[in-house]
Amino acid sequence: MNYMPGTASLIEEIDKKQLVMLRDGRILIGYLRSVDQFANLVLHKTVERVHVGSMYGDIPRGIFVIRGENVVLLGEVDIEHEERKDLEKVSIEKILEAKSKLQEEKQEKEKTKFKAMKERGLMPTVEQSDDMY
Amino acid sequence: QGAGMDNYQNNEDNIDLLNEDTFGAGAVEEDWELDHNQLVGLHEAIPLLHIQNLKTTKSLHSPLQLDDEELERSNQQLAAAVEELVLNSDQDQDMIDPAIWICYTSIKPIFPKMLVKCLNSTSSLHRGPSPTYGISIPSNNNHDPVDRSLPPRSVSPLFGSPSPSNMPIGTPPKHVIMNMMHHLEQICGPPYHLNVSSQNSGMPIGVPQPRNVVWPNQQPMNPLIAQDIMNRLGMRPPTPQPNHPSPIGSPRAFMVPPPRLMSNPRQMHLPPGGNFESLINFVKICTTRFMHPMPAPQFGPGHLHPEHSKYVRMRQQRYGGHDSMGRSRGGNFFCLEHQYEERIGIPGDPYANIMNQKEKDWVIRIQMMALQSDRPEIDDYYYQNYIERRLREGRLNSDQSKPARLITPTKPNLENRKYVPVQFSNSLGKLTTSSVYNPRQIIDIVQTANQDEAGDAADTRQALSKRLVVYKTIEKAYEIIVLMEELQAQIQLCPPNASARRSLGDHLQSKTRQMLDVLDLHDGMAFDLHDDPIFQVMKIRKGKKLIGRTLHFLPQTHAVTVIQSIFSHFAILIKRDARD
Repeated sequence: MNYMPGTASLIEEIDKKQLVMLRDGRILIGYLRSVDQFANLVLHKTVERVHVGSMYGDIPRGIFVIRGENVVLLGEVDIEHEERKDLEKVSIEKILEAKSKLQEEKQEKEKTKFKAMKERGLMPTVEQSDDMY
Repeated sequence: QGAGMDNYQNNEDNIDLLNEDTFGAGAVEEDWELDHNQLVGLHEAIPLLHIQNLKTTKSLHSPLQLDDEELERSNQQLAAAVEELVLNSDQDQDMIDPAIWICYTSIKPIFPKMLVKCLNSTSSLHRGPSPTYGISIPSNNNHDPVDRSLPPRSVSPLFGSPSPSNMPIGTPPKHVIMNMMHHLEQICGPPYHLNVSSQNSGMPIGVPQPRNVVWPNQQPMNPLIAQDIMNRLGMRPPTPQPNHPSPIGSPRAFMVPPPRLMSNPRQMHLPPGGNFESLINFVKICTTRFMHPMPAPQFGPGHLHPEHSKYVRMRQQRYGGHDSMGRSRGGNFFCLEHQYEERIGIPGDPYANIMNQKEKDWVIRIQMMALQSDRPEIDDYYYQNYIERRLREGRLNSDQSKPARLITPTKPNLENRKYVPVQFSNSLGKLTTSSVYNPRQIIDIVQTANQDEAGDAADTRQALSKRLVVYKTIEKAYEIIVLMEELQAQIQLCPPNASARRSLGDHLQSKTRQMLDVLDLHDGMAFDLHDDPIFQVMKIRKGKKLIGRTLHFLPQTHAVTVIQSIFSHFAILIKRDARD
């Protein structure tokens, strides 16, 4: 609140570890280095965190430049409390494997659902994860 | 397909013509690599930058060489240039800061010839490369006959990404700045230069040195606004500068060494960043002062009321020990200076401050500008009303020491009161008066039995069903009476024609008999007081009217019965009539 009392700005979040959620559902964790008036972000030492069930895996991504309109939310990560006892960290391969399995299962379910709907004469709609389309 | 191929060929031929548009003037005609190197080299070891002159004829002076004459001349030049820019503002579609083009002229000898060429190619106004890089469309002021196959509107930006320290997209629109400067000129007179001796090594290219420029103040600066602005820029209040006389309220007030928060220790001695922003802020202040003689709660969104900002600052100082995460400001490892700790999330973070203070201030400035509004009552409704209300109540900053006391309605404590009988003056003995605690029957109130027909009997089902029967009778009778009256009317109308009359008369007779049945009046029936259907009907308002109408049609005997009934129940009927 030093700069603009009464207003909120990302300037205060600079150089802090942030968790950024994107519109496509990705979660990125990194040090926020720079912002601009569109809330475009520059993340440093970025890690993409993939969650499957109670497992998660971190994929190192380096430096990210994120266009502001794709950000859903972001918040500071408390480094002292970052470790979670209820989540299990696994290797990248394992988590990606788990994720693809999950995707497959979901797709199977969707397929059967669609088939059932079509049989009953209903037109199935595709679920949109991004509000852009 | 042939046409398509031809088109392609044509495009190939003309492609070189478009080079200038694609890559900009500099790319085609000059050695851009050389220019680029020069520019890069320039950026790393930037020399003194001073605003001295507005015309390019003078060579670069050191500020110490400025004398009054030259000051005066530069003042006039500034005024003239401002005027020119304003007058020509319709031509120029570039979003060029006037402050930037001032700088361009002065550093002309240093800059690569690319820029110089651009500067030279324009008439009197110096248009440098557009800071908005592709967003705006420069008008074609080039009087050189350049062979352009495309209309002037499609000029492309300079090749390459803009240096981050230039003023890119988002620079306040020129007309806003021009307005401000114009107003400024009107209020305060043309600016004059101050001697500046310190070196500027952090300034980006293109940002002028407003430190040199001081507007003479005719009105005292609103100290609260100044405080507010300075808070926002994170600056301390002005410290006295021994070398330079600083009139209170001058822009120098903003240009003091930055507070602890600003930059890392290496740069502590350097002049503050964000000078341009403070210039703009100062201009804004002057204009707002000029345009809003009532400063009271007319702060736009993003500005705090001065009292409120004072309170916020107080609170910050009080709770400065802990930040939002509950960690003390002392930090985990480095408990030294605040500025060192505050900037660094992880102690010893080598990547910290990639975004320097200038850039932060620039972003903040843009964000603040977005909050500017002509109608704060609408755009900032809640805050304005809140401040207004608190002003009215007389307390602007909530005092922590004395929290507001809740005033609940108080009731006198009656339980412990000792009863003392009321004594009247000038009276003998104790006169008693009656009160709630000491009631006395003063008036004899008699409760007369109000015999309502719907009294107790109504509750019973039997009574209800009886009433329903009577209602039904009345309705049936009504149907008949309506018909009878109709027939009567027809008979009256009809000429004394025997057949018609007879038929109608017969009709009437039948109806009358029907009516009698309905009303339970039989031939040879004696009047019975206790079981009087007529009375039952009469008790009901509608029934009363019905009887009145029927009486006309009834044959003698039955009419008599009805009259008998009426007379015997006269009292009650009268009472009911009165009630109705």
